[in-house]
Amino acid sequence: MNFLFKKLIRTVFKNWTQFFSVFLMAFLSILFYTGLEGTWNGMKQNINQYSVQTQLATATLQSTGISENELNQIRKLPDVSKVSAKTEINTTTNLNGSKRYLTIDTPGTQQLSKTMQTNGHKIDVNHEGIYLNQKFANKNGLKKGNNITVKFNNQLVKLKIVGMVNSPDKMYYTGSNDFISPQEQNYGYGFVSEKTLADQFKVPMINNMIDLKDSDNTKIESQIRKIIGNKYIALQTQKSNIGISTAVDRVGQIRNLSILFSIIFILLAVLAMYTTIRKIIDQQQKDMATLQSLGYSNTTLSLYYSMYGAIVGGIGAVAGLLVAPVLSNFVMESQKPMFSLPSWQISYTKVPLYVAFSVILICTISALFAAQVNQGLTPAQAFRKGSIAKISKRVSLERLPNLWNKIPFGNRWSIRDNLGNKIQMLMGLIGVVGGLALVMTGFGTKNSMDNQVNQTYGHEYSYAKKINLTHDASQSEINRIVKKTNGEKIEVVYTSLQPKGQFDRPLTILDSGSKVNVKTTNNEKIKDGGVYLDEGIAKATKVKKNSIVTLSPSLSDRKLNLKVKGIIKSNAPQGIYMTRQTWNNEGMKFTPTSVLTIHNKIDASVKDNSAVNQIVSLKEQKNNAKAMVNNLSSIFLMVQVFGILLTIVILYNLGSLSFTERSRSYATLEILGFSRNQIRNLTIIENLTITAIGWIVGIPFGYWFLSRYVTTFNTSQIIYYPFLTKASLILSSLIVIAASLSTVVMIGSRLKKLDMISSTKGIE
Amino acid sequence: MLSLKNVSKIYQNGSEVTHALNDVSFDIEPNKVTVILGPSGSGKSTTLNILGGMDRPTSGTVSYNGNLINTESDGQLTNYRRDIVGFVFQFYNLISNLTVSENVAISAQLKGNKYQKMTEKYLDKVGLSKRKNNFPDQLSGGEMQRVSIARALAKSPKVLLCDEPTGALDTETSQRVFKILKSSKNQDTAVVIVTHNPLVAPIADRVIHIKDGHLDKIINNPSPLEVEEVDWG
Ligand SMILES: Nc1ncnc2c1ncn2[C@@H]1O[C@H](COP(=O)(O)OP(=O)(O)O)[C@@H](O)[C@H]1O
Ligand SMILES: [Mg+2]
Repeated sequence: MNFLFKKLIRTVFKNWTQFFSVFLMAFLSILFYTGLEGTWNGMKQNINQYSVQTQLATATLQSTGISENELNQIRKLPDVSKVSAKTEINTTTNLNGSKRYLTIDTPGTQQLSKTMQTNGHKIDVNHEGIYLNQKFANKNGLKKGNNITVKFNNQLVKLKIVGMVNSPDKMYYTGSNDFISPQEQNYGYGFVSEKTLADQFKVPMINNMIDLKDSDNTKIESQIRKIIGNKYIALQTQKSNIGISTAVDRVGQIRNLSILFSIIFILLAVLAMYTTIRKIIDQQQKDMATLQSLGYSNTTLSLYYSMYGAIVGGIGAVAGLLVAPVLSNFVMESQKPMFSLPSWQISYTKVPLYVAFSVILICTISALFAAQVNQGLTPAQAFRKGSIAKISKRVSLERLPNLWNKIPFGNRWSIRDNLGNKIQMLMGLIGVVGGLALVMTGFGTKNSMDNQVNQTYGHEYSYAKKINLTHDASQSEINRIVKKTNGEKIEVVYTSLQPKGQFDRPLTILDSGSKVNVKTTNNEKIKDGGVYLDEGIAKATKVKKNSIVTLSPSLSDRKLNLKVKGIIKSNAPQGIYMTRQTWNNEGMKFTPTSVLTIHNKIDASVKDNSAVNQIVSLKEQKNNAKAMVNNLSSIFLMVQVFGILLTIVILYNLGSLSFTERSRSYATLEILGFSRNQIRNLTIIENLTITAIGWIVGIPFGYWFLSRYVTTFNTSQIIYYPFLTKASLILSSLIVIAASLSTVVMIGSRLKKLDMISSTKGIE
Repeated sequence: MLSLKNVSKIYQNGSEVTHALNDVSFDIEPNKVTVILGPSGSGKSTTLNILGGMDRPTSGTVSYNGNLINTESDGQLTNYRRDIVGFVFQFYNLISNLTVSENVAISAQLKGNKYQKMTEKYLDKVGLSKRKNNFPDQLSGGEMQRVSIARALAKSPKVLLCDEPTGALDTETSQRVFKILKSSKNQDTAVVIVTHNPLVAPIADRVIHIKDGHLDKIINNPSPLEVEEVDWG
């Protein structure tokens, strides 16, 4: 076996370009899987640890405030094991000349969703002053010991910053439902003691935020509704609270990505291994026959050739494992700006080892299969087979003699050669189709997300400014604002959805006007007489058009039974819609929460109106949403780079495989007097044909792949629809065509080096 | 008409230098069969490759009808191979995916000859018209070599260069091949056969002996034997 081993090493070195592609695919599949696992599993572990350490609440009850008596009733519910009551107020502050929004809570019992100081210490629940969330403080240049003055109910309160904290239910903090990605400089949160709240803010404990530990969210929701009636706003669960779910969903997104891509690369590794070994064996027919005649058994030889798979796949897998932490940290780093976690440690399970082992095994087995070609042949038969490289066959095109006879001999040869090499041609097609699909997906995911942003902020939301009203805004004030801004009123409340609603969702009630311009899947507008669900919610709850659902809106103890009038196809954050008319017909009072206007300039009288809580511009919202897309751009880039790499590697590999095989024919053609350009043109035509076929198949496949792929980014808030711009389509096509033609350059340079004499010598 | 002047060929593989040819000069005449004879490794193939524009001499010149062939130019060598030379190899080198007639036609077409006519003519000459639609791998060695001769002749070459054309064939088949080769010389065409087999010498008009890369001697044979007259041992 010693000499055979030497031969193996020499063969690998001599055919390193072919083996390189196997190596690369094995390497990439392990790198991708393991690298991304380091990130998602790391995040998952960090999130879990954070949740356990801080006793993260399983649900948080938002209400307008409840009494001690009601709190006790909730405490006594059989499914509730822990309760921590807090009071939350919304304040503003002026920092660096800009208005900032600061939500202040009391610390509760610190038995649930414990807030941690950044130095790891517990906070002191009785302390004077304020604990400020870290990112807000950092972004605004605030330090421990500084003072901050906040405005609440038209009073100014000066507080000393006594420490920096992070709250586990705010791993992802946007500060406002109007924004989907963090705005750390504008939105912050903090904690003050109950005493400070009473003494300085003049607010008693009203218990409007209750952290709960419970065993059944759906059950306690209806029980709590019974206890507190129309004071109920929403029960946020770990799934519905975007402060938590976004982080958890991100783990799933990255994991899906890692699985999807490693499967692709593993499949390609198998193909590359199979074709490579197959080619090597074809080239080594004589050697194999000689070894057979020396007394090696077919089985030994098959096992010997399968070692190529083990060794090359093994090196690739090990290299992938070694490089993985670099990728893990790279992707982890890209997530840091979006989330607040106490630790960003990457972490691995044992699965990468199993995956690596499987990749090696798969490479070995595919090599073993490829090596079966000589099984059952005697040395004499094997020799004969070795001296005839391949059985030539006529191709079906020859049944059209009028056409066939017009094809030059050189091209006839290349057509027959290709069609006689189906696996190889298939590989080429897969290279083009796969590469195109990946490049399209790289561009397309970004396009889809950009499209989501553009559709939402500009088409579905066609206001310029959104004026959010305070809870206690009077009708007359609201009407004055509407008049001044030529505005349109909407009401957004939370509602539970039965059956299978899982958690409370936003319900938007539309008045006349069209500044919220969502359409159904049948492209219809929202009409009176029923309720409309976004597609994501409909799918999650398995509700269809025309089924009956029950809504329990917040701030009411009524249950509304309504027919689903349509499913909304919308890029905006997922929600439920109905018209004001429908709402009124159900006996509900329309209480606007926002006024939408198309005017960018808002009159000072509106700005300073006490009924106005906050004014948000569509532009801000759009930029904020874009920041979220950009946070993922390194991942999109990776997909594109791998797509291009894939196309080049596979096509290069094939070109080089077939070059080796054809060098004798090429040399003969050259001796007959063909010029190098003529020969190269043969390969260009060949290449273009395969690229063209691959392109035709690849475009629909790419769309399909993109549509599957973007769904992996879906969250309970946002679902993505596949979208690819014309420019991206053209660019993807050009990239793939260029990658495919780049192999022609390789063939050109190898033709230059082709030695006519040694290539046409006896078969050795 | 085709002449080598002071041709040397040195192969250099790292520090290992092989003087394959040393200062060799001779002419090849049309309407003659020239045999280049010498033991294995003496430089016959090297000579033939340089004659055929497949390889460049390290020094010395190749000229055709008094015109120097610029062996440094790829383009000139390609044209030279296309227009002047026909090649026959020991291992045939037929293109496996082309049929017998296509293999012949491809070279005739390249030269701009009326390839259909030429193909038929030369397949007929080598006696393989019936096999014209077969692929090479369906033929015997002797048949493949005859196709390769037909392919070389279909170009109407000025010089037909054959490197050990019967090296892989049995005696009887070899005779048939030699007969075809011998009958291929004419006013326009020189035939050159490289071989290590001294028994071939009597059929040649001229025999060039090569030894250790040197031209040993040139023997003219005013009355060459027919192939049947030779005792093939
Ligand atoms: N590519 C090469 N590199 C190095 N030496 C070579 C090469 N080709 C041929 N030779 C050497 O040149 C000499 C002549 O070779 P060749 O012309 O093939 O001999 P012949 O055809 O007479 O058997 C031999 O010693 C051979 O080893
Ligand atoms: Mg030789």
